[in-house]
Amino acid sequence: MKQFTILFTLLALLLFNSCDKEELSCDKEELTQTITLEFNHVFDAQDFTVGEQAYELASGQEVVFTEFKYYISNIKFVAGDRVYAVPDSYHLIEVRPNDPSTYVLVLNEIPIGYNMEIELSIGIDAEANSNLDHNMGNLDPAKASNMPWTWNTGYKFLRVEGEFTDLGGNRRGLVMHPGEDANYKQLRFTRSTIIDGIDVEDKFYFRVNVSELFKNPNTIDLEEQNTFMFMPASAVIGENYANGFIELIN
Amino acid sequence: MKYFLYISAFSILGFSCRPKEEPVPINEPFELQAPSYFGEFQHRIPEDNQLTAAGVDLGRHLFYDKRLSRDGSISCASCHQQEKAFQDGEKLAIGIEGRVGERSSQALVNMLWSEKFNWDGSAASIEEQVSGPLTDPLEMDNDFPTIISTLEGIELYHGKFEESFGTPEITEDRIAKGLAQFLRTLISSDSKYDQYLRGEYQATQQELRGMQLFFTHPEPGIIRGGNCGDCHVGPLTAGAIEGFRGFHNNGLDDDEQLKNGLMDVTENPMDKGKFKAPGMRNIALRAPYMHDGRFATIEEVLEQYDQHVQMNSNLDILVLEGSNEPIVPGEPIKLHLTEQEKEDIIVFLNMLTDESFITNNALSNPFEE
Repeated sequence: MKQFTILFTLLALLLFNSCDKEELSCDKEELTQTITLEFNHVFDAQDFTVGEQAYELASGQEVVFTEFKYYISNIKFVAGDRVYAVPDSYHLIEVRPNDPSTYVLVLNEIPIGYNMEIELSIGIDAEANSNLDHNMGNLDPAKASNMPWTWNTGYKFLRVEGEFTDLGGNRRGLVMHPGEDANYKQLRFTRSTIIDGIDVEDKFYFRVNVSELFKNPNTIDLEEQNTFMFMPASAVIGENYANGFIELIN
Repeated sequence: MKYFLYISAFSILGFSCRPKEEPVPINEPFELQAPSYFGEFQHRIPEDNQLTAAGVDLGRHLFYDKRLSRDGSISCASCHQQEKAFQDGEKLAIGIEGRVGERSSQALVNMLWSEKFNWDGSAASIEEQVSGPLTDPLEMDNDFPTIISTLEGIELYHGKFEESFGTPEITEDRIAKGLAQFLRTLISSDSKYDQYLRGEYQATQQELRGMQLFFTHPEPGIIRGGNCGDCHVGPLTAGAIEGFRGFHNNGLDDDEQLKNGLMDVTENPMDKGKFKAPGMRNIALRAPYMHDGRFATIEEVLEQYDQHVQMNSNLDILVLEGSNEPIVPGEPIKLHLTEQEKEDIIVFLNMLTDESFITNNALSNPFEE
């Protein structure tokens, strides 16, 4: 009989010695879930890709984009007056050449019950922006790569580059490197449909319309200005991306 | 009976979760030291070629061993000399029998912060890269069956391969792995600029001016810059790490003279004329400059960027839109730096010389110890 007890104990240990991680933590105090943010990049009605496709701006210029990345930071989930701030939330979203238009950001261990409202910011908050020692998330120098302005503290919030032909037939460059604290824009989104029940996984779908960078409220005409690096020239870009650039679909 | 049950139960438990393993090399891991401002690098070391003391030692011997070339006359170190920051001071690489290559030998340094290798990005890993020179007729002109047979005849290597890989077998894969391990240890991070970044050195006013100019993209009327940092990015002063980001067409040639560069690898016309932007550590020791060694001095390099950028149809847009004076579309791009500014930039470039790197015994020729 003693043999069977020992055998059963060993078998029980074996059963719980599994290798897969469970997504729902079993802590009685706090149930958490994984929330995925999908950023689908478009240019009005078309998919947005980097490298070959030319897109027509509101001003009429056709641009081929060669680089497209931006920081999303300080993501917060809101439930009434309760706020859950994702720790070390600095994410470099990028559409790379020949890559799909959708960028997926996975956030683990978000407490259950906070998935109706989300706040996120474009750019880097002032505190982190003034301190190049931060190695959080995508601020790690290797991941941040060509985003920090090395000669001065601070990051480019967006790095958008491309080429177009001007009215004189000359090949020109589009250089958009807005940064600086005034261009840090906080956005808040509320879901329109109530999510029923508790799911182990949840997804937010965002539509990122690149065309909006060039209009609303400021129509960008590259014939007049094609490089936007510092204030005050870059202020118009910040205003544009605060308004309609990112929208929550679901 | 009961012992049988215990043994089998414990065995089941013991083997329940572990994947089948290869024989484990019996030597310690080799810890790499790199400053935090270079950024993470562990994930760029292949899972199946983690650095070990024996592996690095093997690679170092292979690197300096002339017997790897067909006629035993040159080793990797012949074109990558430590005192010249692991390049050779020649315009174009000179291989076996004095054969002249098509490209300048690259300085081997800080390779862990790169994903693509060779001037044209044709190698996707260091392991892949090292086979090229060993077999190229213009370089060491050998073949792996011969190299393997040569190494098998050298007693020195019997133990080294066994210690590094668990068994004494010598293969092409293991030769590449050993060399790659050694190459990953070539880290230069102790120049005056590095010391300045760590707060250990007080830079002079001129050095600070040069630093600022180096990293700044100029905006006419707002800020002056040398426009170097767009391609020589961040503290590493090298091309951006991910994929082919660090490859640029910097206007060395017009459309007629322009070589394919990266386009040979990607077959994308927008990549024509793009070459790898190397890091600038020890640049003062690395004349002559560019992928074909066309500039004998740093002053000539500065002049090129300031006055002689060629308007080819694929010129990097950050060069195209980089000037200290308002740009007139269609006219050649000039930086319009002052003589003082050029001097300041060169002073900064000299800050990047790292004495400890070029004299580090751990990276020197083990056959001459």
